Amino acid sequence: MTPRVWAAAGVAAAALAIGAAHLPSAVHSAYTHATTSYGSGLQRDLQPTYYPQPYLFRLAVALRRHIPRDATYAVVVGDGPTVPDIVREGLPQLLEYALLPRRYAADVTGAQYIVTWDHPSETLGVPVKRELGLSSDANLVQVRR
Amino acid sequence: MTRAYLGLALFDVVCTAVGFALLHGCGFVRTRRHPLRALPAAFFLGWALVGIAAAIGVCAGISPGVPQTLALAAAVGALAAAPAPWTTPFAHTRAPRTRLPGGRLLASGGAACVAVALAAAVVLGAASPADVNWDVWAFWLPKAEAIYYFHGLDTGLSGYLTYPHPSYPPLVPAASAATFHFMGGVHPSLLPLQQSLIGVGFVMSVAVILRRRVSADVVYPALALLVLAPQFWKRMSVVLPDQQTAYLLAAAALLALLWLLESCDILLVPAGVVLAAAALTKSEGFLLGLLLALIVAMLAFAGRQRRRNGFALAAGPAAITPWFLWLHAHGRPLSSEDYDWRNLFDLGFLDGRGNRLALASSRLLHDAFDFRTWTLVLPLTLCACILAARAAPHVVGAVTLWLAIGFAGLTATYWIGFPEIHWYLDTSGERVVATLPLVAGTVLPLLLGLLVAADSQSPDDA
Repeated sequence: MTPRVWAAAGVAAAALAIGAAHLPSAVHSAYTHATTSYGSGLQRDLQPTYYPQPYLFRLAVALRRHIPRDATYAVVVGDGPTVPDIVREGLPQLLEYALLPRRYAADVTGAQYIVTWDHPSETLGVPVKRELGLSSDANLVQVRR
Repeated sequence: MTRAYLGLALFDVVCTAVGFALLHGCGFVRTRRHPLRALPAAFFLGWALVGIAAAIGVCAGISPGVPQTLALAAAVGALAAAPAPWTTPFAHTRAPRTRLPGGRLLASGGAACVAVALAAAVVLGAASPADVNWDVWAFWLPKAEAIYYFHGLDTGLSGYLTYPHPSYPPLVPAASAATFHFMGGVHPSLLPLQQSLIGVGFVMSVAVILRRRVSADVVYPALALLVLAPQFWKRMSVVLPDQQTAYLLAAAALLALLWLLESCDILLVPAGVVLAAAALTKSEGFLLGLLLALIVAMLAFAGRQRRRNGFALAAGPAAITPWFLWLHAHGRPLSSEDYDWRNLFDLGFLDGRGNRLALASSRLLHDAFDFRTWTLVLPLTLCACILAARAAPHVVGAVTLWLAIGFAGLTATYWIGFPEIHWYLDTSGERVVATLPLVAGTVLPLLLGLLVAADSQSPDDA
């Protein structure tokens, strides 16, 4: 055995020892996921709307039911202090993820439906045909065309 | 959901068939004994080829629906298998017998660790719901959904270009859209499973490729180190394309280094394929892949034999051209809006940005070398580089040059980037720099193998 072979053996042994030391946590992580219930197929598919705020999942499911698949929609979020950060920063993107193929319109005047969060429909600046309460914070406004 | 799982399985079978066509065409698989051993490489290469076809297809206006994907896969498979009559069967040499002290324990222990880790990753991928990472649901998945629902790169409301980072290449969204078509609907909860299968395909491919010339007592412990590094294992089922980019670059590095060692030009074909897929997956895949191709080609050209064929590797990154043409045709910038490479040469712009450079370099170094993320993957690879420097100078030169310039390039993007530096590093630094230790960990067994082989063989003659 030359020093080079001993060096290679040392590196391989260190690699194996470090890898083996991390094996239990990998197996535990897989076990934890395998034994956790993530709900129905729909909830698993829309998990980003469920975790960590389950109320957004309920909102997304309700919107999928009420907005036709070929419709356009906009999202208006109020600037009140009680609006959660995830809603303020990510609601349009979360809904784009969950509501496709419904098309998101950044401009409310170009949308057939408007999702409002902590925002009165009277100040949207569009004629309202129908307004539906979906939660204590969120409404769905159908625009008159 | 049963149909969705069957659809995903069918998609993977199609990918594997295309991969086998490439392996057959190149002469890697010719006898009855090889197909099963080549299965992981066939799946991994096939996924890359089908992804390339889907990405270039959407640029050409072809929707990745089931009939279109099958037609593209058949065309790519036929093209890949076409050279078979003219290629000679690849020499399937066996690695030298175990020569390390405690070699049997190292080999069996390493193989067991890798097998359990890969099985656990598949379990985790299968059990996981849709990925909750911000970038996944904010733009990677909506892009895939948009391609699926609107039959390609739609430019209207909610179309492909309406999501953040429209210049990012389309391979992963196009491939995901194709899987959605096979599944019969948008089921993002199955993508972590697909991601973990791609990871398994990559790791097993690396093991098979390396076992040709490196003994098991080196290959499996080194792969155990890589696979069980917390950052690697955690990301095996994450749907962000960073890990796929790193897999593709690592496979390209391994194949290119083997070409450097063996002078077998057919190795350039799969290397070019994975480089093309890397370029179409993420911007880093293009830049780091081009860097790899140029380093390997120049080192080969600088060698005694003045080999020029290595420059053909640059054809891989050039596969990004259709995407650039599509962006140009739609009036979009070709690179990320987060930075402009021209600023690297603008002293006025760089003035006062020293703090960003210091912050970025220290943070990226920390992320790459932190024991809690990549354990000792990089330190052991650098140690192996030093030990093998005399035995395989060209290989060690290629690895160290690529790591050093790659690190400098990644650091430079944060240096010249427009976003606030702390936010920029917090949201992307750890996963972007992960490509470097992942590639390093992939070539570590090769370096160790060269070190051991140097006792009985002459240094590489590249």
